[in-house]
Amino acid sequence: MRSEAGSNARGCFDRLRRHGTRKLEDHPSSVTKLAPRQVQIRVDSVSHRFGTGILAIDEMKFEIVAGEFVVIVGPSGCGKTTILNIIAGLTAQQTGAVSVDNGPPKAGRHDVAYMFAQDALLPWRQVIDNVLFGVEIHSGARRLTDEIRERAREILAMVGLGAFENSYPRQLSHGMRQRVALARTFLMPSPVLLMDEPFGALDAHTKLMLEQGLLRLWERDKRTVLFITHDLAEAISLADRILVCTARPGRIKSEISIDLPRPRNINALQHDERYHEYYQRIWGDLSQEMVV
Amino acid sequence: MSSGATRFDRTVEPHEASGESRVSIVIGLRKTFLLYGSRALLFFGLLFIWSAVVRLHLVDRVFISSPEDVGEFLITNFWHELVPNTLATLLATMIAFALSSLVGVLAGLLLVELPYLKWIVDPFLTAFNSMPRIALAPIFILWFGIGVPSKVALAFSLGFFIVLMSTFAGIRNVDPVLLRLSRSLGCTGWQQFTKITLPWAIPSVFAGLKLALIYSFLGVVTSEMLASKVGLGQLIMYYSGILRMDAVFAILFVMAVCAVILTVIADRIEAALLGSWTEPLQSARGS
Repeated sequence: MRSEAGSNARGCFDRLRRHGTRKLEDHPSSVTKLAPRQVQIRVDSVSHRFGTGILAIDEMKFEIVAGEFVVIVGPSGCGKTTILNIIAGLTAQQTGAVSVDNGPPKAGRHDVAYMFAQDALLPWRQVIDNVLFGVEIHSGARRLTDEIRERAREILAMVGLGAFENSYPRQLSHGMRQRVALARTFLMPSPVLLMDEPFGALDAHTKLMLEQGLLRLWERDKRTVLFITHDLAEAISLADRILVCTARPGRIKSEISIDLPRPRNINALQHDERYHEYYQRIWGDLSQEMVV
Repeated sequence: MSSGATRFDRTVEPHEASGESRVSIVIGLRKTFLLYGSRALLFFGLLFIWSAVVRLHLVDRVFISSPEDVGEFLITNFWHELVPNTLATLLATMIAFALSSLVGVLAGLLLVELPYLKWIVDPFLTAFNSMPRIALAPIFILWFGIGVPSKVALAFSLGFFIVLMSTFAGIRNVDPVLLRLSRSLGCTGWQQFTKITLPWAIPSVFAGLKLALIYSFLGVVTSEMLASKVGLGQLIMYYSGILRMDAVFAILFVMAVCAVILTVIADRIEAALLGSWTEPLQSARGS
């Protein structure tokens, strides 16, 4: 465990440095608990070795500031899911320092919401009750208020499933189920969202639709997102900043800020020259890590 | 007339495409009619063949009786003999089923909660469960006499294990991703149990309960066949002893009807409780 004073001091330093080098935002438009540009997720010298002795992550180090959309992209087996699980507190941390909102990672923190590659819907609940599940667990209340139900309907409509609130998961297609999971994640007021290849198993077209849906939800309150993927196109479409991961053992190889204007239109991006420039630049980086 | 009534019913619900659903209702009715018609045809066809075989003296009446004799036995002995014995058998079945369900589910939960206990008792459970339970019947009769308790004991020894195994399997098979979700959301142990584990296990528990119901019936009848004062099993032993095949077939028929009714009731309860989320997919909707 690192000392609190040390971490705070370094946090202040980082903030100062950022304020110095970047143009400061005039006013935070949304009323969030955190000042913008404050470091919300910090990973420092984290290594992880599996039980089998394989080194999955080697001295990984990065920081994510509040309201930032960061995507980690890397070849399969680079430990990107492992680092996400460590931040989520689902996997025990072995070395280094990890902090989320200046606290140690812990599973079940209400300020962190996790979205999986699988939809993880409860088959016996209708869509609307699946969307409400996260809030229901967090509040511990037996009955939820009409206000929160109304907000769940609103989010469902935003992901295009307004007409399906009373359907059961098995009546929905794969892409629709993942949209329900997206709505469940965003209904929770958690300021930090961790997403583990949530669209990895979808076909290309459905994926684009869901990415657009994710951006639409994210634009509303700009929460801090750490998103894992192996799909470079997806990474560029979504991210403020991309961290490229090396092949096993995983390390952050390079870091690229994506200065594409927001709000973004995923379809329009495909015709944007800068998008393709980013793609080629990062692809060069990434392809070195892929041993064919 | 009837189609008009149907249309009216349908238009009460404006969101349904009434034309389409009316067509599907007509198709559904025709299918149902066809289904029950074919079943009746099969049943009476078999009776006809049976009757013909007896009338043509292909097989001696002593061995296979005849549908007419069986029907006559059913009618003349219905109230004073078949009904009381059926009730006795069903009563013992229900007691055994209730006990197996309750104790089986509780034991299943206990084994999930206490893995060490499960490790310890596992070989004993396997041994007991693979033993031919009918071999225990003489012991139960010796211990409990020839009344209801010995029948219940044999039926319980069958039903209990079925419910125990299915409960255990249902709880252990919870989708790991749901448990990860539970952990990431910070579910309390109780929340995880009531909101994830239990609902997940219910279909499996129900499958076990349905099986246990039929096996309880089987256990009771078997016990009655060995030694009993009342019950269908006892009746069938008596009549086969005096070569009354009409009576034996009549009782077999009653047993079959009982088994079907029990199964139908169990299916209905299951459908009502689990409803649409376990129903086979009716229409796939694209995204």
